[in-house]
Amino acid sequence: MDILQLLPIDELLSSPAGQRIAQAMDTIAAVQHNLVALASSEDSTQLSLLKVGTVFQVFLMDLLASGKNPKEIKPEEWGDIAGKVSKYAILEDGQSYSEFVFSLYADYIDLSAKSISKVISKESLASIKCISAEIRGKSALLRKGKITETTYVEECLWLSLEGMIKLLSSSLTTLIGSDYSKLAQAVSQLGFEYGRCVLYAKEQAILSAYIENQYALDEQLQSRFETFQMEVLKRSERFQRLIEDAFSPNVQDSLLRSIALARAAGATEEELLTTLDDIDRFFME
Amino acid sequence: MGENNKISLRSIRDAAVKTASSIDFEAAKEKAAKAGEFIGGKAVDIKESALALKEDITEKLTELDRMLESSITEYNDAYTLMNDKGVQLFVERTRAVDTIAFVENLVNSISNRPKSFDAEFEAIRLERDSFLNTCDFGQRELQAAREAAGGAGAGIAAGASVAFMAPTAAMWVATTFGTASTGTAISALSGAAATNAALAWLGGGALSAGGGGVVAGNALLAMAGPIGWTIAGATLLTSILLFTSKKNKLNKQKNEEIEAVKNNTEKIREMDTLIKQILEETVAVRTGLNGSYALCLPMFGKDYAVFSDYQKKSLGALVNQTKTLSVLFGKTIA
Repeated sequence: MDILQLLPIDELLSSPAGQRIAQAMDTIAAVQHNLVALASSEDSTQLSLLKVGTVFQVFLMDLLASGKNPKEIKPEEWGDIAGKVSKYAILEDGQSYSEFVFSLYADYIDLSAKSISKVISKESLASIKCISAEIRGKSALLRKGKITETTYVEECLWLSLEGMIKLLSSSLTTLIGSDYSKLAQAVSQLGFEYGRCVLYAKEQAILSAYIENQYALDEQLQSRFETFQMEVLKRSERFQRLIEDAFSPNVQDSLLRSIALARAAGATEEELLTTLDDIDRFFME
Repeated sequence: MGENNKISLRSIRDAAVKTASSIDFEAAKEKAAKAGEFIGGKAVDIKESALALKEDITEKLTELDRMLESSITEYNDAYTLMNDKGVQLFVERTRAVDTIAFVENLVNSISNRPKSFDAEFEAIRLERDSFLNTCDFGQRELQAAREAAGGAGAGIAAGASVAFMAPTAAMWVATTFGTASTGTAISALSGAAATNAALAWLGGGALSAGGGGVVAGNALLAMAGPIGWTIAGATLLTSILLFTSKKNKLNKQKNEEIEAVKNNTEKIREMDTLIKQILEETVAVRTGLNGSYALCLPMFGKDYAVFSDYQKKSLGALVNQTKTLSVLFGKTIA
């Protein structure tokens, strides 16, 4: 602990290795930053551009990885890339793009597993390959319409992340040996599951609060409406009694009560005929 | 940090060697295996909890969707009922206009100067609100999922290009910590051998021993190593967090939408109650007025001066009752 406290971090960062660390972290941070900006954009054009760029890059990389010099790429090969871009990112935008991305991850996991198959245990290899198989299984379910695309994307994102974590922890075998690697794998798996559990628990808590809030609102609105209804009913009963009185067969009563009714209805005082003199004036003048 | 506090790399190495020599590696390995087993078991338990939570989340989302759907149905029902009453009130008021016109004719046939009652009314018109239904939210959630997939895809492509186009930026990890597939520490190699071994490690390490090599005709190969997995993992984690955040935002909006629909439904029910009240009062007053009119009709066109007090009071009551009806015309719903 003392050693760690005494190590000058500035010195470490200024060393050639530290500079490389900073450079690599900056690169990853820049990629993440742009990715967040693009993927969280509300503009659908941005998302389409993101998909077009991705498909273009993946197929161009494929060509370059096969040893092709960029200057040697023929027009028909560019045409082929353009065709793939339009197929995956433009013409069949949406579900087929999601499938394209996760089939890419399934392939990537398989390829990565193959690359470390000789240095990791059979169990570790099987558990990694199981993930790519599960991703492909989800794709099949999506195509059959057994799961929604939203569920598919969410589950495949988690599966792919689990794949990356398993690959990383399994590859530690080359550095720390198989005994400690198992421990590292267990710890990383625990971390992954814990992280997932925390996210889910948070989502569950939010949803539970919303649902409880809705039930509470129902009760509150029902009670408010009942109170309102009672008030209106009371007013209405009062007014109905005045109406009954106002149309009473007794003329003497009906004049007086018609005044009460008109007042209760909101007629202005000067409009009302309250006495015989008022009635005379109304008809004679 | 003072000069005296600085520790040389040699002193760190000496300390490490001294510490390492005192460790019982076999016992440590055994403990590590046991700890791995224990932690692995816990990871399985947590995974089961996570899956149970996910199931509960799905149920809760379904319940929230059901709440939204039923709240919209209740709103539409309440609106239809209120609208029907509004139409009934309109018809009733149109009838009342006729009754008032009859009273006006009767009064004017008796009085010296023509009188008129305010018999114009404002129709009650209320706009129906439109709300988002579950399909709209489903569509928006799908869009968020596609954005997450878009991000995850872009990440893997960007990661591949980082690893492929500029391997030197990432190669320090391989040259610092890695071993080649032959088992030789990469740091022990030099020159071209080191570069090739590092590239092989970055591009898939032991795959080169399997015959694939660094260039295997697949773009993904460029990042099939710890650097690539880290970049892809970070990308996926970002996509998951973005997607979760958007889902939470959408669920919040859904919750607010349900609240808005329910509040509006309650307001509509209140309005419906008020329209019902005006309607009942208008019907009662108009019906009573028709009766009073019928009683006063024999006085039509007669000389007011010859009327008895009884007749005059009847006419006075008729005028007051008509005023009441015209006041009821002015009643609108706020």
